[in-house]
Amino acid sequence: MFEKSLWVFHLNSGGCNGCDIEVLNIFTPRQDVERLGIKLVGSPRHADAIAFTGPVTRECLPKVIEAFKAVPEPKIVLAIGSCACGGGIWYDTYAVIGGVKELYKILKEEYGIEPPTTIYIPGCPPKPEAMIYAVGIARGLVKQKQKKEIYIEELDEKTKDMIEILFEEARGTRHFLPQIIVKTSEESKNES
Amino acid sequence: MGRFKLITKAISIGRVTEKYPFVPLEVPEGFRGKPVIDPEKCIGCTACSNACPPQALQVYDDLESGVRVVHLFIGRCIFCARCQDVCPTEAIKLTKEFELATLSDEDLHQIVELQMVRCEECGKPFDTFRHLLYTAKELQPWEREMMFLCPECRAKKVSEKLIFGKGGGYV
Repeated sequence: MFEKSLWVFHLNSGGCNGCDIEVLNIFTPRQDVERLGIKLVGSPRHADAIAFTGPVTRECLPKVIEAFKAVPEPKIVLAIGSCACGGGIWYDTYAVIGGVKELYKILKEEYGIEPPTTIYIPGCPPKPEAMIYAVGIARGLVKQKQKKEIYIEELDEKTKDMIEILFEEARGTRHFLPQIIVKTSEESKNES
Repeated sequence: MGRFKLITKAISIGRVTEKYPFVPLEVPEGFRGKPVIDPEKCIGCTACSNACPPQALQVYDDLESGVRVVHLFIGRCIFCARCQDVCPTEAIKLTKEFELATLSDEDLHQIVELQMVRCEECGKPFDTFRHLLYTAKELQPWEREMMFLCPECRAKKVSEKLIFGKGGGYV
């Protein structure tokens, strides 16, 4: 998507500061991301990408929308942490709208803005390397590993055999009562 | 003199930057990464969904098709490993995988669908086959008679037996 340097505007949209500290970690000499051309900028107007770290609280929603609109097209959204991805541990509280997905719904309804390319980075907080990996996906350096997995159970003969064995054991004991059929008084009269 | 010391120290330490995206990284012992359900071991007992603080793991019954769905959404998971602690069959485990970044929200889901038992009396699905067999092993053999009845029908049956059953006796 972005072949050249990615300039990122980092916006705390109501998070707990855990993810923000991890964001700062990737600019230290150990994980020096400036070698990949990534740079934090002070204004959204200079940025290619905007990084959300929080579940987007109601209080900061107008500011988030304003910063979001200020980033020029084409842009990338980095949803850092579980809160930005799907609401995190605050997904159903009244003060929170619940992640970037809900933010896109509001933007489409109110302003008619189509959702941009988004990279979801789950983690609480995500490892600094996980963020570098996400940027690698945006730059096309690495391939995506995570995929949706669906498993549907099919009943095999083993379970049926197990059930029969369990019932046979039960029948062998003297406590097992024969089946009792309950009849009302009218039914018994009809029979006789 | 001070600057000379600094240069010699910098040379002696050498380069500290990791070549991460191009070279795989080893994570430390005890790192809690992506939770993965082993679908062969899962019995659908709902212990994990009760323990999960953000309800990233939800277990719900589809009564029409008779299927219990164990639904894991990693996008909301906080990696606390409580599900791993409570799982009776060690089906769910936190791996060391941390490269979870995706371009789509859909890729963060894992779904396990388990077949449910239908009640012999009313035909309502009430439990999974695996969970029933898991608990039936623990029961005494004579208590397995009403294994395939849903809790309401079982209560009826027990009371009928106590009232109409000859010789009485608890079942």
